[in-house]
Amino acid sequence: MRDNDGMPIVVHRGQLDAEIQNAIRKLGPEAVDVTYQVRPDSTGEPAIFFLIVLKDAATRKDVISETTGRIATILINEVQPIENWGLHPFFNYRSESEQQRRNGPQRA
Amino acid sequence: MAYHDDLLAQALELVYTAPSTQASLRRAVSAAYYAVFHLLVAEATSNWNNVPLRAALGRAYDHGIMRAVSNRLLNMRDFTFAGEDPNVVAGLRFVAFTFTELQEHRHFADYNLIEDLDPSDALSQVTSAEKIFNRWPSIRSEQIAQEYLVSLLVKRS
Repeated sequence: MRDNDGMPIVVHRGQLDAEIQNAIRKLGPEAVDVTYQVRPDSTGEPAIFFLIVLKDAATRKDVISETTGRIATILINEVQPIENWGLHPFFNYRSESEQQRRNGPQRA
Repeated sequence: MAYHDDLLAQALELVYTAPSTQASLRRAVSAAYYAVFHLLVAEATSNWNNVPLRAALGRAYDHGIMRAVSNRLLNMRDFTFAGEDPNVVAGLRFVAFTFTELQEHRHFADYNLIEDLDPSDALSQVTSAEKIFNRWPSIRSEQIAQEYLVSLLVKRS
């Protein structure tokens, strides 16, 4: 999902997409799918919201913190959304089984 | 236990409630955010010698200013922390990042009923808050951590 949700996009979207895709390749097998939206956060500031679908095993309570921390760190370090794009990153996580149960619109 | 410890315990209890409900998940995320908020305020005001007035001083902390300060700290180009211990810098950036992340998720949890909050998402947020509680003691005495606490009170134009 690459949706600007009505927000004026002042970034070179193709380059941002390419950098994110490059970062996604480094996430490892726990990350089944990654989508993102560029839109304002709840304070109106420009932000990028990642939605990462994880393998169910990666969302167990004993490993989820390590998994999500590692994924967020890779995406932040590779894309540098604040420094290079002026976008504050936010991360949402969902297990594969939760994703399958969903029928409504995705949150990213 | 301190109030922030109670809030974290409540968040953990709620997020592990089975079967989960939207109410339990959303309250868990909200409690996790406020646990971190009150931890930081308590740490900052603990430097105030007049103990009975610490709670009153804590009322001066503003969620928006704390978020703006935390956001600024995450800019690795503007805040290089040259010469500082990389582990301390990483710990402080984790606190700042997680505070902002939790505040945004609390906003969703408390107000956005358009779509469900995923259990994995709630668990991720609560465990991140727990990680702050585990990590903060190792950096709290560092000068850059103390500067961060003071800056949380200062509005910049």
